Amino acid sequence: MGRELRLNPGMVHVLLSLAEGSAHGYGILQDIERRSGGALRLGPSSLYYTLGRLEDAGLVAETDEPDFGEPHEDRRRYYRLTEAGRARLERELDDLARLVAAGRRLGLGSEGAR
Amino acid sequence: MSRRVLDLLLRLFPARFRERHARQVRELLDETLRREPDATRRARLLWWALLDTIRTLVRAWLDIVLGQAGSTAGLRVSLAQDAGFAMRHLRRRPLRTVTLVGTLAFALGSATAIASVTHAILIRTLPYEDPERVFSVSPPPARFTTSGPALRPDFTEMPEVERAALYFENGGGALGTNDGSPARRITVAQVSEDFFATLGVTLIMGGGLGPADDEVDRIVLSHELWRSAFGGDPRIVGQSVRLNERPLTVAGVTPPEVGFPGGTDAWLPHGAFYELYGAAFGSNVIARLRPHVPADALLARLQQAEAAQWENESDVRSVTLRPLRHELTRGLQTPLVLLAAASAMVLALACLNLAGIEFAGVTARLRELRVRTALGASRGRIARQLLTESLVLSVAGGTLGLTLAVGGIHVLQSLLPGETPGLAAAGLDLPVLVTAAVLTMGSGLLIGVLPALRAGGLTGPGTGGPTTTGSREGRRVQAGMVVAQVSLAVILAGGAGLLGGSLSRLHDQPVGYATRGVLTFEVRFPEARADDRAAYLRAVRERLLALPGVLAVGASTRLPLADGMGVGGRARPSGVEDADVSLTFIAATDGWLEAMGVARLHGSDLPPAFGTEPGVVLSRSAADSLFGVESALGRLVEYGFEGFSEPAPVVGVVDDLRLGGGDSPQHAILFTPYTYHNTFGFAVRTAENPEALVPAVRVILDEVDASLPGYAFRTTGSALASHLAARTAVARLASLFGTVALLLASLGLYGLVARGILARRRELGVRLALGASPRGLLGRTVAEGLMLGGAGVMLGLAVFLPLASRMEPLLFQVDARDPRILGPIVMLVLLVTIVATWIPARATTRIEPRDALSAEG
Repeated sequence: MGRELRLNPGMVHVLLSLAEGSAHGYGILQDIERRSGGALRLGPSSLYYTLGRLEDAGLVAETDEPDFGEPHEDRRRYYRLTEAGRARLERELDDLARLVAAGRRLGLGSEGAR
Repeated sequence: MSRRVLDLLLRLFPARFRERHARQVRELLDETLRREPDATRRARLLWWALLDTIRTLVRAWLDIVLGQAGSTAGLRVSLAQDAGFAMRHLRRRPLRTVTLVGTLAFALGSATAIASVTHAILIRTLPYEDPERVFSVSPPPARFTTSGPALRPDFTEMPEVERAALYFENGGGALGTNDGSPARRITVAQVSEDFFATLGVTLIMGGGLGPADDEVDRIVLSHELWRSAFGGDPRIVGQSVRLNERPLTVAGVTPPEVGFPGGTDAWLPHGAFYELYGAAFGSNVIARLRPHVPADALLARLQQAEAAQWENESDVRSVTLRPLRHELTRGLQTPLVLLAAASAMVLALACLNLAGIEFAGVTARLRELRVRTALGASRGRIARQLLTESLVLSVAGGTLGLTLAVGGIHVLQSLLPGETPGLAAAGLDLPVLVTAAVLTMGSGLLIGVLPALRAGGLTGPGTGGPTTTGSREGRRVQAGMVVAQVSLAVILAGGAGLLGGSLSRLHDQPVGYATRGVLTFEVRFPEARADDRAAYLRAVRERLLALPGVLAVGASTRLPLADGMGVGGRARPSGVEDADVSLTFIAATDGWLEAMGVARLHGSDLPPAFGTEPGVVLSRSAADSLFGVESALGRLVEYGFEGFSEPAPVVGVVDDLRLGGGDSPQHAILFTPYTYHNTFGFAVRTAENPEALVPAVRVILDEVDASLPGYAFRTTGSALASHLAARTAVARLASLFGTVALLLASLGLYGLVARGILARRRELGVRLALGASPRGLLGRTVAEGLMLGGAGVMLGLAVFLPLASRMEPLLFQVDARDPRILGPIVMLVLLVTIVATWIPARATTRIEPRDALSAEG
């Protein structure tokens, strides 16, 4: 078993994308790029590498069913968030929120600044 | 095009990623490109995907190396685990481990020792300023003046020359201190005023020698002499010491390790001690080039000046400029480089050998490794495990090797000429330790990489079952390693053979005098007591001849292989102008030629020393060039340095001498009677062991005159052996390396064959059952081994022959590609190959088909 997998920003984004519902590779890429405003771009290799590691850690899993009623294209592989993945994501976001709140109290940062 | 690069990159990923995601990556990329209408943007996307893939590739492999750890702290833990496993594994088979570690220790230790000595002699920074600008000039641009030799003004005024100095080959003197302790014999060089400045040496104390014609007699001490004879006294400057009974004032101390010319303990202004010029008036010149002036410019100018000096073109000598470092290393450069190369090859051989053993060992441990995989270890982890094992082996070997290296350095120090600057200081200093560490780690990696890859390859998914395709490739890899080992052994053995053959030819080379039964020593007579010389000689000779076993005693101004260049002069048949030839002059007492065992061809010995009777003896080629050997006796000859003397009759003709050892040319010599000279180079011929005479001789010298100690006591045989010391050392070490190489290579081949037979027991059993003859099988196995050996020989020769010319400087009368030497070496290697194959192959004759077929494959 060993240590818990450390989540880098790319992983968090992937998990976030899957929290909305299961998706395939292209969809996740688009999602991340839109959400981060172009700041974070994953390539095909790094995306699947990340998915592979998340899968090894049990946070995501392959699935056959697409959500959102999209037509299922046979050759695409879809991924979904597992229970453990959801829990982990929540924990991660809570940690981040605490950090942000601490910063705000010190008067740092502003809404929507980039 | 970029697509193809991407495909290639994807293939480099670890198998797991490849299997699971490679297709997805491609499809995703295709889809992304499909949805991009703009062509330029498509191209940019593709580029970016490539970069992303490269980054991910690196990360993927890094993650494997870091293992399940995912961080360096975890890495340390798992490496420690690996090391623990490794040690356990090695401890389980102690004999094997000891052998492996021992082999590595020898290879690493000898490489380290040689690196240390090479660094100390060739690489360390010289204790002079800008030593690359200092050269020795030969022939020396000096001339004789009434006050002794001096630099030619046309030389010192050359624009390329910043400064220059004369120095004279070492003489020996007796240094006495005022505290009454016995005189110690030291080596003294006499130098001109600019000597230390030319060399680039700043004295650590004292003002130096000053101009030669100064009133006060000065002496500069070497650092080592200052420490050993004067205890490093900080107030030594200004103190008075005695050299050969004459008082001198200490005028300075040099920094450590200056030692130029080699072995000098103290420096005097030249002209101060006439009798310390040694057997020769030969002077040497060093010059310091002006900054930014190329040596070639000075060389050209010197050659011009030389040509202008002589009327006869045949008299013009060729000028050489030798860099200071070369002077200091006395021709040890090539031997040391060769030794370093040889030890590197031995190390490579040892690594290949061990790699082969470990490689084969992987198959044997397959079960253990697969269990580990089943328990969750990744292939990368397994591979790392094996790499750690070989690193543990190599670190153990390297550590033990360091201990061996210390001994090795001592051995090298005793084998190489003692006065080589820097040799005494050779040790395990930082650059050497770093080299040893690099070699150790490199060896570990070299040994472990193939087994590690194999282990990873054999323990992945889908690699189960009795017959894996890996085994055929595995055998090819092992065979390749054996071929490489054999080729290295051929190279080393070939080099050893050439050096050994060369050495034996040198030993056989006749030198013209007796190499056994002759003791030589030198005595310098002080100028002030010149009148006592005849009586001294008589007294010493009388007593020496009275010793039991002594057959003849004589003295001359030049002993073979003594320090100092020959005195050269010119001679001509009496009355014939323009027929003069240049010869080496040696003044000798009667009896010297006999004592030295020089063969007499015609006539008789020289007239008695300190007499008035004229008469000269010519060596064979001198007689030949003057009169012809047969008709020289009785003819009159005129000779001299700058002019010609009264005619003197030729009273004898003797064989030529090689005064510089077997590898030097034969000298054409004119022997003159001993009359006005101060150097007694004694030779004592004895029917018994000459070494045994030394104590008795010392007593005699002390009785006759206690202030004149003799020195340089040695036999002609030991002088020749010392002269050949460096060559002998290299040849011996080369043979050692060659033998070790052959041994390792043959063991490697043996192991390969033995394992192969074991692996193919089934197949062989089938053949035997079907009627094949055991001897046929044996023959085939030996033939296979011989093919490997042959391939190794060819590869080895292909590498050796082009490089063999580098060995030329060390070879004597032996061509670097001499088939008479290389042929037998090749035969030897092939023979060893056959034996190494035949012994394990005999096992094929003992295979019982039934057992072989029923055994597990």
